[in-house]
Amino acid sequence: MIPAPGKTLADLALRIATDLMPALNTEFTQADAGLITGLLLTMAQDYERAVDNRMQDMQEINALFAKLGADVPRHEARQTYLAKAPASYHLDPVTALHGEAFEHLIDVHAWAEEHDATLDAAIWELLRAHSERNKFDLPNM
Amino acid sequence: MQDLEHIGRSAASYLGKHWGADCQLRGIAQIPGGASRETYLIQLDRNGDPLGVVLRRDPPSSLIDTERAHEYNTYVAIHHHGAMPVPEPIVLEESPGDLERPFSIMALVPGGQASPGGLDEPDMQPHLKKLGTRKWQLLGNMARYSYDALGIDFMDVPEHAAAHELTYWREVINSDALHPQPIAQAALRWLERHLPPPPTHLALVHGDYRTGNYLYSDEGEILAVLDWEMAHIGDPLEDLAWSLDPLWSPDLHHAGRLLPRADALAIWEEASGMTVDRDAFRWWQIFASVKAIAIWISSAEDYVNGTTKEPILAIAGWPMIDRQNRILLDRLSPESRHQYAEALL
Repeated sequence: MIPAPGKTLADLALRIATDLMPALNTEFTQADAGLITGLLLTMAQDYERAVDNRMQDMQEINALFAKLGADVPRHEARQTYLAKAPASYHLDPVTALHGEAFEHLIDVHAWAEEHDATLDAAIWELLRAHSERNKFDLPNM
Repeated sequence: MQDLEHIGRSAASYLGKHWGADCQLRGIAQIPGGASRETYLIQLDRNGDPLGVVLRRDPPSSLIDTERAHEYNTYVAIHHHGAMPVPEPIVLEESPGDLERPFSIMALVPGGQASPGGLDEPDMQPHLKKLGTRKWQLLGNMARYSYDALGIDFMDVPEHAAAHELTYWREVINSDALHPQPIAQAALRWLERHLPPPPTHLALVHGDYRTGNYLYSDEGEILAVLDWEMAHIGDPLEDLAWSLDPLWSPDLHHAGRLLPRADALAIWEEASGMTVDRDAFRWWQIFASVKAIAIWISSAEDYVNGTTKEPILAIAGWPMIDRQNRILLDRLSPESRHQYAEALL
């Protein structure tokens, strides 16, 4: 059993960077190992938070959708989406429902740009919060 | 998968026939960072004289879907005209032969490196201003030339450069995105609403003019500009905006790790003899981030669905989308905090 997968991935990245990369004998293999290290660090940071971040995005999007009137296009489709819950809390079904939420958000945002400056600003704020939650902390990025 | 020795011997044999010379392999190394082509540095003996060449071979899958002949012919035109320093093109071979995939070969430009990280080394610090000045002078100089003076008649001439580019990259985003992209879609709508008029001057656009795509010396000289696979005829402001995108520097305030953005723009204006139309330039700055995110989206799709599992595709398609999204947010959000991108110039 690996009790802390995120930390384990980060430890593996560190092991490659500090112990294995210096022993590689070409610039190309060292660069490739560096990229793999970067990917492992990315996965390490996303492992614990991925489901929670998507759920939090949907919570904020749903709260915003709940305030919208029927004059905002695709009202019925949005209501159908709002009635849904992920089939499970595994990453794939949560990501699939999150994709639906984002598709509706794109439509609402396009409408708000033309008709509702307050809603437009609220969506940008929501996107900013989403982006901060999903930010990666990587060297030189 | 072929081993390095086999690739080197095959290239030496090919060049021997091409030149009608005795050509022997002395050494070969794969060069990292070639996201669109596999790149190899090959040392040869040609009739007893040492000679370095660079082999660019098609990969099974690429970060940018481009035609090798387009890139090679651009090198030929630029090298012939001298509009920018580029490596001397030697040969383009489109049939696979012993090297299994199509390839091109160029002369080695000795004494240069392309690494963006190398610019952060203490020894380079005294040379960054000189290097930055040269970088944007070269770009400004190229903007002076009329495209029809460069021998690039294999390139299409767009009726409306901005609309043409927007159409192409919108399609990339819409066809390749694995997950809906609300920030990129908001940026696409902004670009649609703010489309500038066609430019009065069309020029050759490099298409990926950034730190990492030129060879520089220890003394701050630019020895060669590389990676012309996205070159096209268009608005010269496109290259200027792309070169200033915050993504190319970990430092928020310096373009390409070299100079403050406003300084780079002033150098370009002086070299090109043009005054930047700030409304049009704002459009091209947003476009630069959208084009970049389209490339990262496309690379993510390629990594997931393609045949190759090159880690560069996954890095581009994951943390780089994240960073580019934050740059776009900072530039388009009405309440921007400018944490990741300065205000548009």
